[in-house]
Amino acid sequence: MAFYVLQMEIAVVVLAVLGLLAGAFWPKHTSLIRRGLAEGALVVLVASLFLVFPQHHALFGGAYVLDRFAIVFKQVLLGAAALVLLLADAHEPLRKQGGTEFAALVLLATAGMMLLTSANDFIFLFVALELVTITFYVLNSFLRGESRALEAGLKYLVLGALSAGFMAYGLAYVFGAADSLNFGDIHHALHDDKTAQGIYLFGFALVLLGLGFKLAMVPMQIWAPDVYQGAPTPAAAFLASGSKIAGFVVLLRLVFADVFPPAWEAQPVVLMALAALTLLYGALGGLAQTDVKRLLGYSSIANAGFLLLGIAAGGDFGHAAVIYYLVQYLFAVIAVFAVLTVVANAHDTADRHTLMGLHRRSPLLALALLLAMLSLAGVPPLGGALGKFFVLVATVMRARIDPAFYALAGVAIVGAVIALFYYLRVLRGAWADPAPDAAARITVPWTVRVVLYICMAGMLFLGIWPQPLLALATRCLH
Amino acid sequence: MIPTTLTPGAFALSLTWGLPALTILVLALLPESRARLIRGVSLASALLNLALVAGLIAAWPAHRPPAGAEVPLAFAARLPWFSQPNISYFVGVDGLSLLMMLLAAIIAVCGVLVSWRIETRAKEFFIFMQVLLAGVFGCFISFDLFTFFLFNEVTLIPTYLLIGVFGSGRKEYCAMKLNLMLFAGSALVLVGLLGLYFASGLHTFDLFALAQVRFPADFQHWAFPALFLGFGVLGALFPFHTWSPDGHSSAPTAISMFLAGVHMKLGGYGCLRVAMFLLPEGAREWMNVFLVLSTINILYGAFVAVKQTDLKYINAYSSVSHCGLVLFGYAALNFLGLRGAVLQMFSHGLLTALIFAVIGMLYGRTHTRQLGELGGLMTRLPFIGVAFTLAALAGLGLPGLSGFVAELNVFLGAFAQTPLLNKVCTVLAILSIVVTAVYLLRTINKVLHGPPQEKDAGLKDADLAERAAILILLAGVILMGVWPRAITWLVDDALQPIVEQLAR
Amino acid sequence: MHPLEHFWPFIAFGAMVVAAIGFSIIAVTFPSILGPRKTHNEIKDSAYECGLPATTGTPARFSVKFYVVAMLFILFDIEVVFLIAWGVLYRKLIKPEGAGGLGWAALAVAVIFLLILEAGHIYAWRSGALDWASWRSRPQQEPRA
Repeated sequence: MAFYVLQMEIAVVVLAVLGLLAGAFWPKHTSLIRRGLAEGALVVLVASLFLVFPQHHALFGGAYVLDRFAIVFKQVLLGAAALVLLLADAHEPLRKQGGTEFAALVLLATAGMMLLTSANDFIFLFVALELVTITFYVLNSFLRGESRALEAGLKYLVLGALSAGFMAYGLAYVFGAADSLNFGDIHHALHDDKTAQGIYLFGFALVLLGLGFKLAMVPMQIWAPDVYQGAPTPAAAFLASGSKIAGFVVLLRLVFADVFPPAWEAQPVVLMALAALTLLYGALGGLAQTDVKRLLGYSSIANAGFLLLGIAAGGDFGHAAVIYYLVQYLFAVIAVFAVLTVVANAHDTADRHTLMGLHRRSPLLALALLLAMLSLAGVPPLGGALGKFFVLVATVMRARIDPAFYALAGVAIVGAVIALFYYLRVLRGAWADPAPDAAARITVPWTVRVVLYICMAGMLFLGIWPQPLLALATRCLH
Repeated sequence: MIPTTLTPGAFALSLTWGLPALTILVLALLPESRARLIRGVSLASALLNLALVAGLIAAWPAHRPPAGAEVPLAFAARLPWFSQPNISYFVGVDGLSLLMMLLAAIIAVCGVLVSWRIETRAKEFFIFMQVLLAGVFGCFISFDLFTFFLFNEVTLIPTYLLIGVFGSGRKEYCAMKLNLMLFAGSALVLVGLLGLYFASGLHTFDLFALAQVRFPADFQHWAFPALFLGFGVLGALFPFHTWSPDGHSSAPTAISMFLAGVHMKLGGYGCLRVAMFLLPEGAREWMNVFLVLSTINILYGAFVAVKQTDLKYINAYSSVSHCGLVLFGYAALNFLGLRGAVLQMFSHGLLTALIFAVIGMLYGRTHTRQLGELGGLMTRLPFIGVAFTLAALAGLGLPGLSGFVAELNVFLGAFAQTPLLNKVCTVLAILSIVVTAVYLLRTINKVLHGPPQEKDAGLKDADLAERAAILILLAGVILMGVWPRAITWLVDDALQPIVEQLAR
Repeated sequence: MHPLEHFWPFIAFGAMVVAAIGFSIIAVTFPSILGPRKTHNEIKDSAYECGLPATTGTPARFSVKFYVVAMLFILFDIEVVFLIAWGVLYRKLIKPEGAGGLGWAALAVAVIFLLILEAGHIYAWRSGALDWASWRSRPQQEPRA
């Protein structure tokens, strides 16, 4: 067995286990160990850039494939994990709790996500997905003294279990229809068999529903605002970046492997409707929010809508657009959560007062928040603007064949305009409102500084010079 | 053939937005306490930019391409930016963009000068202002429509912060309203641009490549209103003008000057450059609608201005009326009308900046902008008073000042169209001058004349920086009034391709 | 072919269900009809008529140690179940690579699996989860930064 194909995942798991044991043996040095884990993740990431991977390798009877697409996203997810670990080390409530479990769990979730990028079989996908989800049950309620964190953990648990149930139920139908769970076989198995195609459509819809939980897609979006608000900020950051990216990578993989139901080839009606609903739900739901973490939950839903739109539009350019969007989204969303990690109050929530006068209390945080919010809103010259633009281009491209997509492009634009309102309102608090009298200057820990610099550089770089990433995304597709 | 490398000319053009961008970096590094230094750097950058634009205008005659060239731009260069979708950094200038850049550069200098007294959060104020400048200059030199669009978007956010942070009155509401409406307008523009990109079959955003295409009539039928309305929101087209009085009134002085003087002109510029140039058939088809709308603009703005009591609102509604004149000129669809519209953009840019500057100075001294609380200021503040009077006279179209030249061209062009609707609208629009005279003269009368008030006894007239700002703007107004050839010389050639396109 | 041939299993199953229900009804009702009448009180009706009371109020609490130990037991128990699948195939897996097996790797995977399991065990032990007598909730926390 060619275990070296799995070397990145193995490295991450070993790192997590060592971190866990080291924390148990040297409880006085947990801060050092936590930082060591973050740096370890970075080392794995950097090392993976120099490793020569076998082109298109398959493992476990084709259940695991390693191609450029998988490798790129493994690296992206590792990067996200490293940034989140740095944040977790600076997060005051988590520091008080101590221990290395949070960091180890983040790494285990990362391993699950990395396996997801390579999943080429529904069972493998299910197991990897559960690894991620179960880890997040713990991460979300990690601050067990906070009732909000417990509430977040419970909501995530109940809906997570429900979605896993949907998925398992759907998989049964998929297996019944296609007689196989391997992505490679399904397309052939369904060939010319109308009955099987009907059963498969039903099964696949359930699988999509289960996956939709990860993506925060309507109708599985309801947990997002509650959990984002209640979970420890670094956990929410990882939920918004890593977990979402992994979910969309799986969706892309399903598209690439031709596993989408044949009925959707002409017009993916369900996907289109879900994209539109997700977009509008995210945009409208955020309007009345006052807690920034909660708002980000809605923002995450709106962004999921954009990504779904890109996948529904399809085509090489649509998929490249989704890949680009995912990477730029990572920087923006981690930057916001990095700011919140520092400014969030003792209960780890961030109502409007927490941001007031941020420009005075810490110009760096205010600037990072400005750039990140603008990137999320889609204002140039930041990555978010081009991400939205590319998705729109892909949509209009598709609309020239299928005019229904014009309506979707319209919905997307309306959604973006509505969402601008709440992003700007956050900025108003940070930039326009005077600082409360008691608020002192904020000292930003160096770990958060590093994260912020990386994210800001990433957003600007992707917004000004998208060509390298676009080229890479296009290469990933072939 | 357009060079694909950064030629010296293209580099100089890029510097017009590069300089503000560099200034942002420099300002960001300066400590907040050094307010004088921050102002100094901003002024130096604005002056340098003015010199750069003046230099470009001086060098332009030698570099302009021969008439009838496919790409009638000087200093053009097209650098590939990203390949899919096909977008390039395509810069160049013709007379029209040079004129707009000149306007922007002048108002930038004056804006820094009138903001000389800003003490609180000066660093952020000047940084945001430079972002705004960078966006505006980038717009005027870009001929790849997507790049143009991006630079246009860049201007939106600093506007929000400048009004929301440094403004007065209901600033948060106004800032949000302005931004949402302009963003929605941009969204419409984006729809139109994507339409152009795909419908042309060329998969390009290159303005001049698109101009070679004859778009099918049904495409023009929906794309033209999308683009014209989209840019029209920024140009304060009725009924999408409502952001402008609120936004401009609550902005700080320098930003009111820049927003009303330059930023709004991006809308007019876009309407002409993109919508009318690329979609002439759509323009012909829809022009009656926009003719009526812009006539309403002119009359409505003027009548509402009569009812206002806040000086800034008077000028803001006057802006709506005068910007309506720009769109009204477009609706004539002939050379004179277009030229008048462009002249009106320049003239109104200077005038409105001047009036906003004067209002800012009055407010800084008397701490009120209410007509009822002002009076007899001519004796206390003669310099400011004279400037205000001259600006008002130019605004109502007194010959010898800039407004007259522009309005004459617009009305001549509009009246030359034979249909009855055009004639009627032109007559109505001309009548608006009477209304304009009513509110402007009434304002002058109320603010400057009458018995001097006791509470104004200790007021000081304009200081050096303010005098400089006023003199620069007044010089422009008078120069354009007595020697319009100085401006039309730049514009006429640039309008030729558009007129030809419209006649096609 | 008998017309009910396909249904034999169902008929048999149905008969068994009927028999089972009938038997329970008989077992419950006959003694009370046929048997001698006895006195009823709380103690007489309880299962053993002596010892600890069979029911108590809900507020009774168990030590959290029980839960932790029970949880750990279930976890390790379930993990070991995975070894069964491996054990069943062990003879086939241990064959050399050429002969359709994995060779030593077959043993290695199980060892790696057990090592990971052992890491969990050590972690639980070091964290004090197995300390029944002197309960330490966690090792000493790090000093606050």
